[in-house]
Order: sequence, then C-alpha cells, then structure tokens
Amino acid sequence: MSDFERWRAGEAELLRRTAQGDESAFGEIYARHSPAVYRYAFRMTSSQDMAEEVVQDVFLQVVKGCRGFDPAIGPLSSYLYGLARNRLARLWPDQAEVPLEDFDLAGDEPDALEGLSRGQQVEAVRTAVGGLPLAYREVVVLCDLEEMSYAAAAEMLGVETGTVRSRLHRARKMLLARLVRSGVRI
Amino acid sequence: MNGDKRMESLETALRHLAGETAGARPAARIETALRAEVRRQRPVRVGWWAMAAAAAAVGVVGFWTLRDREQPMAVETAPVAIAEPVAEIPAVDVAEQVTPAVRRAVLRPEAVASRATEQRELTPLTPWYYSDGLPKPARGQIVTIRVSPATAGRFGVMADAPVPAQLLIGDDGLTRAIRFIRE
Repeated sequence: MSDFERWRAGEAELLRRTAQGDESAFGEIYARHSPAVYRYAFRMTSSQDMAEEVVQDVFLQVVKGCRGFDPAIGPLSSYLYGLARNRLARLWPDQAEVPLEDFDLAGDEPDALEGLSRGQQVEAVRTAVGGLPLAYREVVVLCDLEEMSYAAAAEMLGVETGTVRSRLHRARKMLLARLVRSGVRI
Repeated sequence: MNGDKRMESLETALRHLAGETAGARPAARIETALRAEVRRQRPVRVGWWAMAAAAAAVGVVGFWTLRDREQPMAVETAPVAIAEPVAEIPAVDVAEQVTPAVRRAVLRPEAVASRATEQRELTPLTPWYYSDGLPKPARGQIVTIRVSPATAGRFGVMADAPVPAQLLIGDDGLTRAIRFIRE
C-alpha cells in the first residue's frame, strides 16, 4: 500500500471513529479540511455567514460518518468540496445554465485595474468574481484563488480538464469585461 | 493597452484577492457546535455497576409482576349472590337506578333467602389487602374466582391447589373483601 493509499485509508478510519463519537478524530478531520472548505465557500459567496453555514452543513455530514464517501473513488477533500459545492448550488438554483455575454473587448480598452491601490483592486475583483455565473465563478475560485490544478478542479467538478481550461479562460474575459463595464478605472 | 497586459493585471489582482482570504477561518463557535454534535452520538458506555443495577431492576420488576399474577384480580366466573349478609362488611344497598346488568351482579339481600339452600359453605368476608381507609361502597359486586394457594395462604387458608373464592368489589372498581368457598 502506497503512502497516499495509507493516507486515504487513515481518513476513512478517522471518519469511522468520528461517527462513533470520537471527538479527537473529528478534531483532526476538521483541522485538516475546514479551512479549505471555508475559504472555498467564502470566496464563492463573499459572505462569512453563508460560508460558515456551508462549513457547518458539510461537517455535519462528517459527524455522521460521510456514508457516501468511498476512499477508493477520491480523497476526502474532494468529497467535502463536493458537499460544499452542492450546498452552494442550492443558493443559486437558477444559475445552472446562463446565457453567455459578449466578452470581447476592444484592444484600446484601458486596464481597469491600473492606478488602483491594492485594496481597491482586491475589492473590485472580489465584486466582479461574485457577479460571475456559478460555473465560471467556480473555476476562478478553484484555479485562481485556491490554486488547484486543472486536473484536480476537473475531478471535483466532474468535467474534463479541457472544460476547466476553457471555462477559466472565458471567466477571466468575463471578469475583465465586467471590471471595464462597471467603470472601474483599472 | 493590449489584452495580455490586462490579463496580467487581472491575475495579479486575483493573487492579491487569494492572499487576502488565504487565512480565512470559520468562527470557533462552529467547531464547538460540531464537537457537541459528535459527543451527542457517542454510544453510552455501560459499566459493571450499571449492568448490576439493571439486573437488580429487572429482578424487582419480575418479582412484582409474578406477585401480581398471583393476586386474583381476574374475573373468572359469573357473579353469584352471597349466601348471607356478613357482619364485618355492611350489607350493600342496591339502588333503584342500577342497570339490569349490574343488578344481576350486585349484592341483593332479598336474594339471600332464596339461595340459602345452596350447599356451598362460605367463610366470613376478610378485608382485602390495603382496603383499610377506603370509603364504604354504596354498591358492590361479588365475583367468584379461584385464587392461588399462595394468595389463599395470605388469608389463612392453606391449600395445595387453587381455591374458589368470592371477591366483593365496590362500585369504584376496588376490591374490598374476599371470602373462600368450601365445596
């Protein structure tokens, strides 16, 4: 058994112990995974309250032992991201499919972020990311903010790696267009 | 400004955004609440003393259950009139408004004479367990049953087999007295 397989088996064991009321096992899982789940939810929603609600829902499944989790299929982190993603999708049920806008910008458009302080840039981008349709926001959050590889993001989203790449490309163009159109002098 | 430059600016801003939120953590109260949930589903550990206590409780319940079974509370036969009024238990008044079904069962002094020839011999009525302090019933019912030798023994009647007896039950449903039938 490889180290990776042992790691996965160890996580399954931690889950089993958690379901039996072992608080230390739960504490270990929570310490390992809750920051990432919270960050993901917070970056998706820009809301601490909503992100905490997602964390609570996701880890309640952990408390119950994550009966749907199979270590042979994937790591626990992916499973937890999936739970968080499903929970978040319920917040925006009407965004499964969105019409795509025209994101091509003229070459002489100014850089929307030029001249802004770092704090202003962050706020402008945060707002723009929050306005992206769900499918595009996901790839930006996973690949650009969580720094997940295309392959890992694809596995989590259940799509091909090429789809992640093309969505990310399109999402960035959307972001630029939104920043310019929102009048931010970048 | 060309597209590459804009994209670079965007990627830089995204990195800044990632850095700003990299240290984000859920509030401690979330973990506290979840840990409480974990503790709630912890199985109850039963120690030897708890097992012993449970066994003792089962024993006590079993004893009382068996003891209750010995008590002749089930009506076994049709009610019959008593042969004669008994001194220690006041004669029961049969009110006019008693329904026919009850009237058949209640103590009827006027029926005593007609049944005087009955061959069975009845012992005097003896107060039932714990009947002290109960109000005297205005009406009552006599039921004939068989009681276990153990129960009969509590009233001073020694027997090896179930003993026929009559119970005087008040109209409140509480047994007041018992007497035994010598056949």
